[in-house]
Amino acid sequence: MKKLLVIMVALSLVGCASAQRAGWIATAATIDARDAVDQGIKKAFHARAKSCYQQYAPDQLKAQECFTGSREYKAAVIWIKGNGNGVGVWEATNIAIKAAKAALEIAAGRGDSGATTLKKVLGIIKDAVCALAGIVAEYGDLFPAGAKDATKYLGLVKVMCK
Amino acid sequence: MTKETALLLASMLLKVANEIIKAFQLSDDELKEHVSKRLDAESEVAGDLAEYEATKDLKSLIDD
Repeated sequence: MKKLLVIMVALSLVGCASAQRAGWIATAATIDARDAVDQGIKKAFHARAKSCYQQYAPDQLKAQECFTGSREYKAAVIWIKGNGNGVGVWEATNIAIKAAKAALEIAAGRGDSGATTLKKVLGIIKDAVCALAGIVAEYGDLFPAGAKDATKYLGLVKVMCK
Repeated sequence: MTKETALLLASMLLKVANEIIKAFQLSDDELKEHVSKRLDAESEVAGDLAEYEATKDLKSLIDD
């Protein structure tokens, strides 16, 4: 069923553009989602730093405890460092985007079929897109505007991440 | 899955696909440039997090 849905989405895209172009669009959408989440977390991170500072000043230790115990701080840590594996969602997304771009360029050079390339690119970026969706699902309430933007660009999530 | 659900899902997917397409009304070359230009962007959160962990100074983080 999942494969069928992915094919349906792919065909929808192909209906509007070539499959190669759809691969570039999916890659660009992943970049935009990445940047929307980064901006959203940054704003939330700064806002929490400010509120902790103002609440506990001049007690720096309490202000630091307030900050490092916050969900905003945890979201930033997961975004940059991940969950104990040393690779944050940002870096994982970048690795996938670079691999997708390389696959598209290699395919174009070889003259491979667009549909095969699109399938490959969607496969490469699947984990990154799902990780992005995961952080939006868990912490998106901290950065509603960025989460809304990211969700706009993560249209394939419901299909890819089930 | 019923036929109605499948149709509803297909309709939703088409809408999503169209939204994505609308978001990228760029030529092929512009699209590739868009990806290439932003590929190596630095995370702004990474800089802030590193700064805080190095200094533990909330004030300087806020002032940035």
